[in-house]
This record gives sequence, structure tokens and C-alpha cells, in this order.
Amino acid sequence: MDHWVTHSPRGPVSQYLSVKYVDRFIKQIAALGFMGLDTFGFRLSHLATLFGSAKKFEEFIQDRGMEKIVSVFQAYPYVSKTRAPHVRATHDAIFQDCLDIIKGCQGLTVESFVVMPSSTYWQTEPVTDEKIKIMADLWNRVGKMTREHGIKTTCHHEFWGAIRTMDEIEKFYSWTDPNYVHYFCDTAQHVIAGNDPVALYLRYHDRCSGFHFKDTHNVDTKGEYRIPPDAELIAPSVQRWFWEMGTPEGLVDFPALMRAIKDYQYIGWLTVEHDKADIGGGNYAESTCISKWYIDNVLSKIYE
Amino acid sequence: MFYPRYTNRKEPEMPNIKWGYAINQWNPVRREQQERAFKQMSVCGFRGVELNEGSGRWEPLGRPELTELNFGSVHNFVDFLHQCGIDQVASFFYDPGLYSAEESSYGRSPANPKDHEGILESIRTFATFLRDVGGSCIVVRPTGSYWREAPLTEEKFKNIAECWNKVGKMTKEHGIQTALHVDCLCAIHSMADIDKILELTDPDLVGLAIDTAELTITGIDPLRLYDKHFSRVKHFHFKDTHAVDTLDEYKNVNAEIQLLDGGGKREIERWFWEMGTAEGLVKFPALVKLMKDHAYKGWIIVESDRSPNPAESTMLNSWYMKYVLSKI
Repeated sequence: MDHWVTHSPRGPVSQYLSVKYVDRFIKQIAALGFMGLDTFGFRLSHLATLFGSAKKFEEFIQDRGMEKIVSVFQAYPYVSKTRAPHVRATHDAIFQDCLDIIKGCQGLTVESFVVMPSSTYWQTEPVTDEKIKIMADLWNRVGKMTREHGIKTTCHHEFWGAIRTMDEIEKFYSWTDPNYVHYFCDTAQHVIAGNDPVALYLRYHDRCSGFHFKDTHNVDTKGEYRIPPDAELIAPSVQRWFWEMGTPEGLVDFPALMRAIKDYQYIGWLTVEHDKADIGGGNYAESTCISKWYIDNVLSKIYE
Repeated sequence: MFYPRYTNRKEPEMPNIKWGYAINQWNPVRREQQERAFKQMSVCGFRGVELNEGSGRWEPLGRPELTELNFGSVHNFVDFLHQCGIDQVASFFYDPGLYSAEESSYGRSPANPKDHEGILESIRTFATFLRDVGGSCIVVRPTGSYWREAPLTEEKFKNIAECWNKVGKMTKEHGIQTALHVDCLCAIHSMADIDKILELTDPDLVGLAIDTAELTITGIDPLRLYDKHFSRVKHFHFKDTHAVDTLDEYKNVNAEIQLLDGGGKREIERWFWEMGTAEGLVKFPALVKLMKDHAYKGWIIVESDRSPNPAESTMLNSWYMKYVLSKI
């Protein structure tokens, strides 16, 4: 996942600032052996402008040793009058946004359209069955559309989102169509929310279409998921929620998850993610190295 | 069928070459910082490490005795490297002019015969360590900075050569090669100077280390130097630069601060770069081709000292190593 910040004479900037910056970014992840790139829907237009088209950008990464853009991420984390997954009146607008992104993927072989199924908890609560059903309806509709384009819609559950507990997740998947709405396992987000990602994978393995492998050192035991405007950024008790795999304090049981993935013969991509890795002086490049070291030296051996 | 979409550790296909990385850009103090630095090298495909001489509280890996104090034994340190995915210590960089609290030395000069015994005994410690960890080379700064040592008289040259011949003989007895490393501030500063010091030293005892960026900044073409003295070249440092010291600012007092740290009158923002940047002046593919022609066998230590982001530099160098140089 292409959360990344790089340094420039103008301070920290996006890795997609110019072709030169993109070149350095892609070479870094390609050097470690990563083959796929997960990106955000909002980047596609910029990349198309920078390279001529999204397809030309994909060719650019292929020239540097990578294979393809694997997934595109879209979210409405913050409620607006025109966009809120739990408000049915906004669904047409959200659907049109999603359609535009999917059209932007033409010429590519994107496999997954990863979405946050809800906005923030505090803007959605009380989280009622009715609201979960409304959100399920939205993603059924979007999922049907993306499937017609050969792309799976898959839902990524933030610890601060409105579909965050085992009960809410269970209801959501029971009200969505398995043909249209898939499950996406973000390991750290689940652990922070107090859920076991291994148990969730076992429960939804037949609907699982992808993973974000990242770790955390903290479970949200104080209900900070409800803090406005964003619990990931301003929770009083935790400055940095997300960590790379392989730190001693990590709470995610990656070996157990890897064994489960093997047991169920998952076919697909495993994506490493570093979200806000620069908090407290870290950096994305180093986190990527440490994660890949853990993959090569710990997780890969589970498959040997 | 499961297919994890990442590739595992893949070694570059250069059978005579061993790729290592210099620790100096990280300068890790705490154990977990050391672990992360070694893991970064390892995952990027570098199998050996070049340590950097240092002294005191900020340099726990800077001297063999500090390493032993920290790890309990040399054996424990090697185990630690292995656990991080590093096969071995390849080499140690040593500058006799540096302050050493452990030796009560405020810097010694190979040009001064009175310092020779101190230099010899100091390096003996490092040679012993390298022998014990399976290393192969002690990379030495042949003399101090130009602004301190110049002019290099015939007598000084003779003294410098004598110093390194003695050191080379001692390290050879430990199975360790001594290699002279000329940098962009060094008093040995021209092709003629290098010709001369090589002529005055025993080829069986003293070799040459080629640092691509340092020589380029100095105005020496590393390819030409290598082609001329390939039989003496025992070690490489690969790094790039975008600029040459055309104003001869190496001659200025405190050039270490004024030129190297401060960028000199042109305010060069960054002297050392990763391999593969568009503005890079070093012709690495041509150099590797030449190394292949001359059947160079040994370590290439990639270096990115003064990098603003060590991990990023290591990854970029890794890409260039795997996708460009290993294909030659």
C-alpha cells in the first residue's frame, strides 16, 4: 500500500510529486522484491497526468521490476452532506464516484476495489441495524458494478469505523451478497478494535480477497475509537498506532495468520502497509525493509 | 495453490563479487538500532558489512574491544549478525588520524615515523578482530587531510610508505589485506600521488581501495585509476557524486567542515549519492565491465555515508545492483 512520504528540499512530500520521485519510490520497493502496488483512487488522475495514462504508469513500474497495480482504495471516512455510506440519500453520489474510479482503471488489471464500508464511528453512531443494512445496500450495489468490470469490491474495517466489532462485522456480511462484497483483512485495525484477525480470516476466508499486513502495539481499551475528528491521529493515549511487522512489541500473530492462509490455500496478494510510519521519527523506507526482512526470514518459512 | 506475490532473497549473479554495505550511514548506537540497520542491509541483498573505526560512548561498534564489551564476545557479535541475515564482517575502515580515547591518541600521522609504532599496534587489534570474524580487508586512510599534511615531501612519502609496509606485513600475518583508501580531502590527492605511494609500497603487502565518489570529487577518474593499477586494487567502495571539487577547496583549513559538511563555496547540498541517479558522475556499468575484464574477485562495499535516509539509499543501491550491475 503506497502510504509513503519522502524528503525533498521543500520538506516531506508525496512520492508521486514528479517522475523523478516516482522513479526513486518504485525502485525502492522493487529492490526488495515487492511485485504489486496498492494505491488510492484519488491518485489515479494525478498519475495519468504525470505519465500520460494509468496504463503508462503501470508500464513504468513494470520497467523497474514490478508487475502491476493490484488494488485501488476508496473511502469516505469523514461524513459530508453529499457523501456518507450510512445515509441512503448520498448513495447515488458515492456510486458515481466509484464508477469514475473503476473507469479510471481501464487498461489495467486491477483486482480489488478496497473500500471503507463506513465513515467514522462518532459520526455514524448510534450504529443501528438499519444503518448497517443501508451500508450493506450501498456496497452490494457498488460491488455488482465493479464485478461487471472484473474487479472485486472488498471491505476494510478501521478500528474507528462504524463497522468495527465482531457483531457489527457479522451483521454487515450477512446482509451483503458474497458475490459482490468481499472481506479485506487489515491485521492491525482488527487488533486495535479488540478483534482477532486470525479468527476473522477463518470466519470469512471464503470471502477474503486481500490483506494489509501491519502491526500494532496497542489495543484500544479506552474507547478512543470515538474521539473526533480522527482517533488514528489524536488519541490521547497512543501517538502511533501502526507498526511494521517484526517489532518485539507487536500484537498481531502473523505466523498464526500465515498458517491459516496456508491451510485455506488462499490465492492472491498479501499487501504490506505502513500507515503513518513517520510518526515519532520513523520512515517508510526503513519500515518497508524491516517488514520485508520479517517476510523473508519468518513468514516465508511457514510455506517451506 | 498459494502464490505469495513477493520474491525471496535473490542474490545478484556475479560469482566473483561479494556485495557488502558500510555501516557508517547508520552509526547505530543502541542494539535495536544495530539490528534494524543490519536487517536493512540484509533484506536489500548485501551479505557483508564494513565497520567503521570510532571511539567512546557513541561508537559501540567502532572498536573490537567495545564490540566485545557490548556483546560479551566476538562470537556473540557474529551470531547477532547471522540472526540479522548478515553473513560476515567484510572489512573495517580505519583512519589513524582520528581521536581514540581507548588509545589515548589525539590522532597519529603515517608521515611521522614517531607515530608508526602506535599505528601498528592500534591496527593489530583490528587485524586480530577481522581474522577472528572471517574478514578480509582493513581499509585505511593513507595520510591526513591535505590542509594538515601538505606539502607531501619526498621524505613524508617515504615515511608514509614505510608505515603502510609495516602495517601491511603485520596484517598479512593475520590473513588480512591492507588497502589504502584515498578520499577527497586526503593529502595524497592526485593520480601522480597515488602512483607514487603505490610505487613506494610493497605490492605483496599494501593494496589499494577504490572509492568511486571520493576519487571523482577529487578529480581522479576511478576507471582510469583501476585500469592502471588493477593488480593492486583489493577493495571497492561504490557510491556516486554529482559534483567535483573544481575550486580546490580541499586545500582550505577545516575542509572537513567547510567543504564536506558545509558544501563549500558552491553550497553543494549533498556530496554523496546512491548509484543510478541521472546526475551521477561515476560510470558504474563501465567500471563493473572493467572489473570483469580484470577478473576482480572480492568485496564491493556500497556506501552512502551522509545519506538523509539510510534505508532509502540502501534500497536504491540494491535496485541498481540487482537490475543494472548484476546484468553486466
